[in-house]
Amino acid sequence: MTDKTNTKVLLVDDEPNILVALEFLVKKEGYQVFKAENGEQALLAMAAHLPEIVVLDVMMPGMDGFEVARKIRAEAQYDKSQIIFLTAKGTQEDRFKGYATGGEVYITKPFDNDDLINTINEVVEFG
Amino acid sequence: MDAGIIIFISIAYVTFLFLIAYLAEKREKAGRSLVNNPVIYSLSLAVYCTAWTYYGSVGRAATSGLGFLPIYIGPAIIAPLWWILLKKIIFISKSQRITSIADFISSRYGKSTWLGIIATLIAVFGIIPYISIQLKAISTSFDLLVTKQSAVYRHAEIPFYLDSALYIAIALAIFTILFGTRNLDPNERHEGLVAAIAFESILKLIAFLTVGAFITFWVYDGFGDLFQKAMDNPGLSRLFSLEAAGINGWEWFWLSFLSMSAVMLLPRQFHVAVVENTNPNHVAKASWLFPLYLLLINIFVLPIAIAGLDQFPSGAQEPDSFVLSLPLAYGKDILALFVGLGGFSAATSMVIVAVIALSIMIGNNLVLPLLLRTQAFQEEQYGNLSGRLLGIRRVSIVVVLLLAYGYFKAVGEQYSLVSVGLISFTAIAQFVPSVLGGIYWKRATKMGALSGLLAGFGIWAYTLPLPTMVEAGLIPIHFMEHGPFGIELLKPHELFGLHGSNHITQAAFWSLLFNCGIYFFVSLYTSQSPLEISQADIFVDIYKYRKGSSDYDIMRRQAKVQDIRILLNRFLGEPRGNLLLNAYENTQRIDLSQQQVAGADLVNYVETHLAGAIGAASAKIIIGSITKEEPISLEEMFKVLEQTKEIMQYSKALEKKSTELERTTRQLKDANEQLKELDRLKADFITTVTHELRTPITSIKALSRIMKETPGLPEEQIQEFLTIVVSESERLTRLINQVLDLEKIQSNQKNWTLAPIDFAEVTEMAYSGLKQLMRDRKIRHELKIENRPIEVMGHNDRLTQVVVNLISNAIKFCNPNEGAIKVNLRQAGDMAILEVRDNGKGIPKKDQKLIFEKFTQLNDETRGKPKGSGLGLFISHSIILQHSGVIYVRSQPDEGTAFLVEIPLLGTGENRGDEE
Amino acid sequence: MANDKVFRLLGLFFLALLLFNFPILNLFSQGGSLGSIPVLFVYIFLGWGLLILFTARLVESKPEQNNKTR
Repeated sequence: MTDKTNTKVLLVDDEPNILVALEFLVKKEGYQVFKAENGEQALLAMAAHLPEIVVLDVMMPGMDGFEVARKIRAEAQYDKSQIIFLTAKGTQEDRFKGYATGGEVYITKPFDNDDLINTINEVVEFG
Repeated sequence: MDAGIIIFISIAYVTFLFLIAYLAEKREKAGRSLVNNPVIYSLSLAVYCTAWTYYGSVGRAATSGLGFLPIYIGPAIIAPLWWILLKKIIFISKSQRITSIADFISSRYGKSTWLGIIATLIAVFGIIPYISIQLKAISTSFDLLVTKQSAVYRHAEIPFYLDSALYIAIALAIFTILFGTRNLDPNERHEGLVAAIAFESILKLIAFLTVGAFITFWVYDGFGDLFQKAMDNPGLSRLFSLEAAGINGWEWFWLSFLSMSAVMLLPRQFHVAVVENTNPNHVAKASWLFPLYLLLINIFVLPIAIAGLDQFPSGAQEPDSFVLSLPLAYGKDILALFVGLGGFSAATSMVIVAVIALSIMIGNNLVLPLLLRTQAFQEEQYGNLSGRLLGIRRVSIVVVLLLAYGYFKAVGEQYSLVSVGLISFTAIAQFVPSVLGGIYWKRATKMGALSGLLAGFGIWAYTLPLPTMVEAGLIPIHFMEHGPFGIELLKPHELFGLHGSNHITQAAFWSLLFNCGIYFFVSLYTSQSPLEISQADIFVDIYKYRKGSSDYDIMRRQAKVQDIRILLNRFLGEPRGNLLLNAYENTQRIDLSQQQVAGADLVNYVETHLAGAIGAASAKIIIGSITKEEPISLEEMFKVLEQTKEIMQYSKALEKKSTELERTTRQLKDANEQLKELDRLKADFITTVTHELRTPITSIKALSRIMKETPGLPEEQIQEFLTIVVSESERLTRLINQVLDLEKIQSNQKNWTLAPIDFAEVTEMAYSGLKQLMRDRKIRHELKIENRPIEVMGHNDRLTQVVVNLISNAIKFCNPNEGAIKVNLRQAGDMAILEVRDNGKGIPKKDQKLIFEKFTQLNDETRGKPKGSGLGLFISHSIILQHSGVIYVRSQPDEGTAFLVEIPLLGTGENRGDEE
Repeated sequence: MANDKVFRLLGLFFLALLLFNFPILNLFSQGGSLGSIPVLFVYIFLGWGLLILFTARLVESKPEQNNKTR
């Protein structure tokens, strides 16, 4: 069992209300939480905190989630960070696009609270 | 032999044929079609083998050996292509309900009446010699069976009322009328006829094989013996070398070419192969069964010819009747009678089918179109026209047969069967450019086809039938020897000084050269009418249409349902007319008695069905008399396409110059593309709306679950979560309302009534409603209205909605710190112009066009996420379109944005309003 | 593919056109016989029979017919 309090999770979503829910859930599970409301903020937070997990919304104004993921993957220092995509577009095409940029897991909005947490736990534990 | 017995047998045989036809039709009605079968189909194609084949081939072989064969080799060579060519023609003809080769040509080139008339005339004049040789064959074989001597008297020398050939012609006319014109079939299909023809094909094959076997194996000792005897005889051995028999490669080529075209385009071949076809897939089997039939019926031809020359060295018997005279010489009267019956069946099948095919053409493409143009006919409202159509056909059957008899009596008798038959083949070959070009070359025009056909037909008439009249003494002989007016270059048999060529060959060469050349060049230099373009597209790309895209409806026509009813009753009779309309009601699930006006779909349906009964050109004229039609009404199209702004701009460009036909088709295609684009956009819209719905639901769902599943949650946290849930629910409600609003506007567009209103008042109302909000946000605001009242035709609530929407947008996007909004309403020319300006970030050029589209708006990324759904501009755009106005945006990045609405002022804009 | 079928049929057509026309035809038209049957007669009817056979094999090839025609 990994020590959750030492595991950092970065939550990225442009909808503040969704961030509220995400933050509550992830914190309650015991993780250390950071938040970002757009791509630029997300990249800054990456550099500052080197989180193990990034929960990344796809549809965001400006830089979208895929682009953020590509930028993360382009840098070796983030090799340990795992990306979980969160999106309201659930088409097959988007799924492939997600994997192709290096994202490992893909969760559709509206998500199930337990599913989300389980997924994060699994990714933390098994990579 | 007693003439009475022969006549009796002939009548008994014909009665038997009727029985077959009757049974076939009965089975068809019972739904167990006998004819829907590839073998029967192949056998019916064998109507190609006429008295020419039966008697004439032997005659030809007696002088030129295997020189008779190109006529059968040609079809065998082209048969592999049937699966490509013939099948395509069948598909086209079935979809267009084409009833004859003339109809096919007329239909391809814009359902042209004139082309139909010319093609019919070519077919009729071309085929008359051919029918005459059948009369000749029947009457000489009759004479021969009775007297057992060849050519006792000449038909030309006895008065017509004593001439057996005349009575044969009359009997054939009656027979044909009974067979082909008992009722008017909307598809021109006669299963009984086909069954009888197939039977005749079997009979003539068996009879010919029997006499061949008799001669080869009974009179002689097999092929070896027969050929050995011939090779030992210097006079006969030349028959085994084509050159020695006087056939050269040029002639051979042209004869096989002529027969390739004849086997598909002769009116009777077209009739059995295309019009009577029950299933296009039968073509596959026919493309090898039919050549096999030809091979079988030809294998004994040369042996019989050799035997005849060997048995009658003095030339006492005409080679054209060796088939009969050989068994008679051996005293085999019964065999001779059977052989005669085979010949009779070969001749009758040809005459019946050819004359029926011609009568359909004459009725549908010649008489009816002319009749329909006469005033008297148009005024005559009621009366049974289907009876009249049948009458026209019956008369044309009699006329055609009498003409054939006349030709036979005047000229036909002096020529061999084959040389007269080839005259007909050459005439029919004139259809090749128009038909082949018609199904593979879209650019081919009506003028091209018309002038090519006329040129080819003219040269044909000049080089082939005309000289036969000279030799019959109808035209002075020096015409042939020195050309008209002594111009040697115009001598019919050596046209343009072409020496050393057989006259058929040179006629075929010149007529087709001019026909093709003129067809090609005139097509390049003339243009097509919209109908021609659409027909060309159907004919060339028939497979595309078969896959079911009927978006290419060029003709948008309307007619009164009552008129259509009257019309159908007139032309098809009441029962069939009702049947057709009922069928339509059932498939379309509509009740016509509830409708006043019939749409384009029904009009097209009726036209294709009428075309089946009376030909494409006639149907077009008749339908034209009751419809209002406009080729490609663009307004009509826009009603369908309404939404996008691009199309509106497109419309304006089109209104200016809509005459150029080429452009019109291109535009149609573009419009089609846009329709597809629209479809794609719609799908996008749905995903985007779904996305927008999911976002609030995500927070609501997650937070509610948290509250439900986390006991002991602090009160203030519950409060925070509940606030979010409430606000997200409201967001959801707003979104749904807007989608519903949009739906309402789009579906109710037609029901709006526009009334004169004061745009200034509307603007003022909307503005004052938002004043408080602007004040709250510390936005400087200003309203300026010049020269009020500003009266427009409009819908009060909708226009208010637009103004509110534009101002709300400005509030949302103006500079967040020092916002400023100016609203300005003025008149300019005959337009009212509303301008709403903010001082926000502005909209980049590339996005300015997109913002009015409901689909791209939602996930606008460049300006940050808009609050709300972003459907507002699209709704405004739709409303303004309904007011015959335009809405557009002027913006420079960082210099703010101005939305402008222009609506026509009252008194100037009504006309435009009507068009929309 | 169905297109192959179209090309094969076209090929067969042109082959037949060549074989049943001059000058090829003339090669067999110089007299002479094959077991007392004239060479030309044998050539034409045999060739004709083969043409029918090949046409039949081509058009009746079922699996290709299922495809769209073009």
